[in-house]
Amino acid sequence: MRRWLSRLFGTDAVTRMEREIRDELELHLELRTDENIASGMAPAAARRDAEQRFGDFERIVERGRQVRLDPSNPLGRFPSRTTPHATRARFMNDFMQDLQYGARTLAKSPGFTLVAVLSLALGIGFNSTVFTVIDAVVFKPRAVEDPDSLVRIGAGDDTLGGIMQSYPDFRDLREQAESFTDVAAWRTEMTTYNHRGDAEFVFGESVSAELFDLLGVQPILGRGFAPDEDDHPGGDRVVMVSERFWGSRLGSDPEVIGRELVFAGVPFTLIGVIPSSYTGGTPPIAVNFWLPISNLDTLQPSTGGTSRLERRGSHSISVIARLKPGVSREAAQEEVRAISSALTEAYPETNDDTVFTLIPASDVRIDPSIDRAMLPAGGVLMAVVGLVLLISCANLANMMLARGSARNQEVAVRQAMGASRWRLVRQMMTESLLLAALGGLAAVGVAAASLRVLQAIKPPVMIPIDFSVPIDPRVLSFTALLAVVAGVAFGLVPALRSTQMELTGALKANDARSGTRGNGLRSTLVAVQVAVSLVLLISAALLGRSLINAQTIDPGITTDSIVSIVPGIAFQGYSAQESRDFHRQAVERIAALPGVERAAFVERMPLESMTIMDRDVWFQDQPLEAGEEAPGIMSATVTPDYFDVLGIRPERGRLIEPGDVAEAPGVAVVNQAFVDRFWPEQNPIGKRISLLSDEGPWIEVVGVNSAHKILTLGEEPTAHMYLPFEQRPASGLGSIVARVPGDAAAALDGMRQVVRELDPNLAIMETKTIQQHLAISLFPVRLAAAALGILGAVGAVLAALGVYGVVAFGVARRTHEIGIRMAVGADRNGVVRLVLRQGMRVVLIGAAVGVAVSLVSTRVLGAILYGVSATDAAAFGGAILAIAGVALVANLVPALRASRVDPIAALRSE
Amino acid sequence: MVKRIDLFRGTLDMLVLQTLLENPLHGYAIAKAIQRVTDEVLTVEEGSLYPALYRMEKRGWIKAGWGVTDTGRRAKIYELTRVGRDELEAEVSNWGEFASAVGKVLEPR
Repeated sequence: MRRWLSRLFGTDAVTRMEREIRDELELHLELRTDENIASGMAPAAARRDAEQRFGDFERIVERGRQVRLDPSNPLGRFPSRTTPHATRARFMNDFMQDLQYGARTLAKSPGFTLVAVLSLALGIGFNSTVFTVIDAVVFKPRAVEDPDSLVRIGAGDDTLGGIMQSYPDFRDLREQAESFTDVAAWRTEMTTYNHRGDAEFVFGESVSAELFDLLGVQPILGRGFAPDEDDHPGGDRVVMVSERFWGSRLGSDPEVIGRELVFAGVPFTLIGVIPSSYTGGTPPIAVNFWLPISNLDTLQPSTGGTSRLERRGSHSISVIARLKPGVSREAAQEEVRAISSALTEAYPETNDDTVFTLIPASDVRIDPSIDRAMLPAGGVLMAVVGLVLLISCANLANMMLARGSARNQEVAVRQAMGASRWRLVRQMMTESLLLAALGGLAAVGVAAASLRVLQAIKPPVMIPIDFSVPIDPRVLSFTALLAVVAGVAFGLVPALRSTQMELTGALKANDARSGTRGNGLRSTLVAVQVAVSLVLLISAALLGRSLINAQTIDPGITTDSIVSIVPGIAFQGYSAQESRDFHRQAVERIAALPGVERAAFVERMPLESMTIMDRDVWFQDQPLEAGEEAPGIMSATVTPDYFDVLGIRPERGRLIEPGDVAEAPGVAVVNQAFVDRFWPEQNPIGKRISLLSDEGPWIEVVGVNSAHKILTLGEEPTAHMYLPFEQRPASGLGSIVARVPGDAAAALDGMRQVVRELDPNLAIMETKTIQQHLAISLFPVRLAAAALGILGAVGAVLAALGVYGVVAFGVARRTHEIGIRMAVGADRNGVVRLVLRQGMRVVLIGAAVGVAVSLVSTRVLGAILYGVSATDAAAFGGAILAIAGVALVANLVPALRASRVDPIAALRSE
Repeated sequence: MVKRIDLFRGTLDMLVLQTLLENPLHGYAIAKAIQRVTDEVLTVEEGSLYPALYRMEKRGWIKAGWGVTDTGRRAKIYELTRVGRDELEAEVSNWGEFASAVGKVLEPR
């Protein structure tokens, strides 16, 4: 520092100042020496004595230089009055002092510091993790140019929140609308990527040529789509891929442009690579490839004759547009509404409820109906981790309060000497903020670790979700903010508390009562901690019981020896006939495999959460009233052997049989819930329903199958019907299930081989055993139970630490009092009981509050509790016992230590 | 045998300011003055005195100039400023409160 200053200001100034100090001190030495000589010492001895009094001469020079050479005053010159500059300098100086002092104090009690930093790290870290996840999914602005002028244009109808449109409507909109610089569209595609004899299931998008330009996304290799590439249907077979795809499947080869890539058996030429900052129109889904939108029919030929490019009634396109500068959203909204009214007039059958609506692009994440559910879910999550942070802060506040009272004496003396209360509070706050800063730093580590754990949890979905949420500046600022807030939260009250001591009380060195002052606040904090942990643990316990119960709920189907395989027919461009032929052959061949007893096709398995197959049903004997809509009923198309494979029996009438072919009369099999809903108390056999309209064609109900779960294990009875495979138009989607008493893996291999033989280009979307299938349906419950369990356990540990800290401190303060009690006859057990009683009282109060809160809050869990009431006694009881046990131990340790106090030593310690 | 009682930093400042109330003095003289006035009960350590003087000078409570002692030696003389005077008043009043508080504590109950 000195060298730097010397270089800056010239050696002269600094040396001159040092010279001054030395001169002054030298004079003092000389005068002292003279005085010594005057009182009779010999000159040498006099000088020696003078020097000795000085002590370390150099150190005094150094201190003098330090005092004069502070950063705001480099030349050591002094203003004669206090300037604002000097005030600031003094503030900075004080702050640095406080920091050093705080750091030293923390270093002196490593145990406290460690526990504090750990609790903060956990509390803040978990909050940061949740925030990162929510931010990535909900808030983070996408890497596109000027996101605020982007709007989505939806058809405003009922399906999927009204955000989708049809291609013809989009084309008209693009042509006619004047309010936008550009209008573009995309559609999500699921298909197979064929490579070296292997077929892999991938996600992509068909996009209009101007989409990337509109969003400001530049390819990092090659070029984007030219305007004419999306103009002719079936037109140019070109493709762009994502950077990730380019890396993992093309080896990041820079010469890859022009190569042929095959999707769904169709060759495309690679023309460009899109940077990984853009992952598609629906984050966090990360797509792998983009095709020109004229390819809507290429990957999957449309059924029913008309091209998807001409289907005005089919809303599967997402449209995005950029407002022209100067055009307001309202003006644009009016214009598009006018356009949609014109379309409604021109095409009344398809567009009668189409009203183009503008939504700011940043308001749409996946689609409005799903988005609406995400915010409350996110809110609940943040509330839960917020609770853990609350416990941490309460803990720390308690510990700070305890330390505060230990420094009562020092504080009081300094206050009496004139140190302002504000100054002392500032110093304590600096210490708290220092702790919080350390905790915040550690929290970043905790957050990084837990994010990595999260990414490792693969939810059982086939959709490629890009969850590589990095720790970015937003998260770091959030963490920092949280740390500061926490620091203030747990530091302020103790600092204020301990500086408001009355002089008399505090200056007494050993006031037996001074330990109980502030106990009210501390006890309340402990009670709060216990209550919060209890709420978390009770929820976890309920979910845990629910999980166990779920294992015992009878799904109504056989739960072993079944395997299933899902060939990705729907994405391979099969026609209806081809799809039916494929499945028929596949089932035949698989049934013939060794180790397979029976095989069948089913459109949707029971308890399959990913697919909902609703069909509208009209009843011949219950015509609809005006304005009434036909109910949508869950259904599944099956081949006859299906029931045998899954162990479903007929309860009335019969099930689907081989005779139910296309030429035979149409039939259906329903379940009891269906009967109870539409024909209560009646015989359903012979009743007629239609799946097409209220005028038929009618199919006849021929049987009632044994009950089994349809959607979730905990559901209410749900109506369901089975339809014969041969009688329905093939939808292409479905599983082939097989009963395999022996080795499941071998059987699955065989099944895979059959599919490959039938079509080597076909990707297999899924293979699993029935046990895995059931486990998937329990995934949300298991996840919630695990999360709450961990948080609850962490909360309980923190609460226990809090209890321990407070009780131990209380015991330490009252050593004197304990000594007295023991001296007048209290025995060791009595002392233990005393401490325990007082400690547990607080815990019990906290537990009572926790139970009360839980009784209300667990109602929220109702939907995922299987066979467990939200107020299940066992769960509540278990959690309470756990907390009480932990708290008891936390109380016991200091209590036992109290009982071992030597009364003589205690009385003597003044 | 003289008892050595350590002074709190605040107290030292106060004593120095009071000493300078009457006359400007140099460092050694200030130390001697305090010693003399308290009948040798309070002795100021050199290690505390000079840093205290520099500190107070920085705060503007005292100002210094170079002069000559009565024996002709070059010395740094310190003088009380108006700010310093105000500060002294405040410190003295605080001290009074503190002293009476301590007194109450030490009173037999």
